[in-house]
Amino acid sequence: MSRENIEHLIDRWMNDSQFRNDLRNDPEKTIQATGEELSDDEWAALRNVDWSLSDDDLLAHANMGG
Amino acid sequence: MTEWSRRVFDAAREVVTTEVVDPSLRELVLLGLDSFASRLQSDASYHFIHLPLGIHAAVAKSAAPAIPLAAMLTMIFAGFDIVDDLADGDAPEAWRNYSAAERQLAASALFCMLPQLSMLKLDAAGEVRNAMQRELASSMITIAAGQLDDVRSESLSLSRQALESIIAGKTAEQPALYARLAARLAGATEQRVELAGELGRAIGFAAQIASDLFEVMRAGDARAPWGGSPNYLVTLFLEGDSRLDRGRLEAAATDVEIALQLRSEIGRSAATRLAAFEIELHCQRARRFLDAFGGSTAGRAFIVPMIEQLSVFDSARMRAFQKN
Repeated sequence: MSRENIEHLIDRWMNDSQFRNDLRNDPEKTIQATGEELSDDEWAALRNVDWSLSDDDLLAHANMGG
Repeated sequence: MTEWSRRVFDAAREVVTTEVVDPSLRELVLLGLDSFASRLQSDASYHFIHLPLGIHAAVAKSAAPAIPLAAMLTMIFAGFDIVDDLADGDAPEAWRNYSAAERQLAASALFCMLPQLSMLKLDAAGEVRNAMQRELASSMITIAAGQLDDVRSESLSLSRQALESIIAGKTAEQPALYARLAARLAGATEQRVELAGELGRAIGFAAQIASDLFEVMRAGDARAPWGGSPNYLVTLFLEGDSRLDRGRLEAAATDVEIALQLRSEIGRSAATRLAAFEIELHCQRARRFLDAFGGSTAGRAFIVPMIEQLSVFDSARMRAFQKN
């Protein structure tokens, strides 16, 4: 998956509530349904991401790393 | 500070005490080293210590022989830290009664003079030391070029590609160097030296993006990231919103209310999600390179925590978050 495709994925996550719900429920199936191809690293990173985190929770997690 | 880190800093102080005969200069250099040690945060972020110890242990099953190398790299990093502060106009409390010229002299001793003496004393064959010396000099030229691009850049108009080029040269090159040097010292093949370098580079990228994310979002001086050194999260945010009023960005450097508003907007933007994913992607690359590098579990014990500590989605951090 190119950088541009990752950005499209994130943008869609931000603006499409149905896509967001689908991604939270089944990230792999949802990404596969987009038809985009990911590298092994990108798939592994995707599986590690917790898509259920709210914006506040994500920021709190980021701050814990400081 | 862990026992290993303490041993490395003690070894670095020993080098300074032994090699810097002039007492005034010795005082300055020790101040540089101790000031640097006092400002460091989580131990897992000491890449210049844990990465060379871990890589050496992975190859040679022992970390202790790499302590002199880690001490040398600690001095170099401490010297770079002083130079970075001078370039950014920062003045840590410890240097309050000293001039910029004195700080520059301390930095020069730490990243130039003392490492040359340390290199001569490493327990390695001559040709290995020669290869390490070439690696060190070449890498420091790359790092200096990255630093030059950084100080010359206009942080608010920098593209992501340009910023990634700066990170590659200035930041990610440092852990790549630490790992390659340790691999050479341990007697690794050229292929493993290259893998070690890629592992270090991936850690460096993840660390820089994580640091930039934290700099924007941390409680503290909200004005800090605006108009100063380039910031990856701010750059992503600016690329994603071409309508953003640049005047507002410039005002954020001095106006706390505007800075806090911008921070809130960025926190809820796609840029933050993308930055978190980018960190995870570089962590995953680091894991892959570490697996390919192979070696002893003793080596992995140093390196795995370094990688996992960078991930926003690290399971230990998640558990700690849920506990709170």
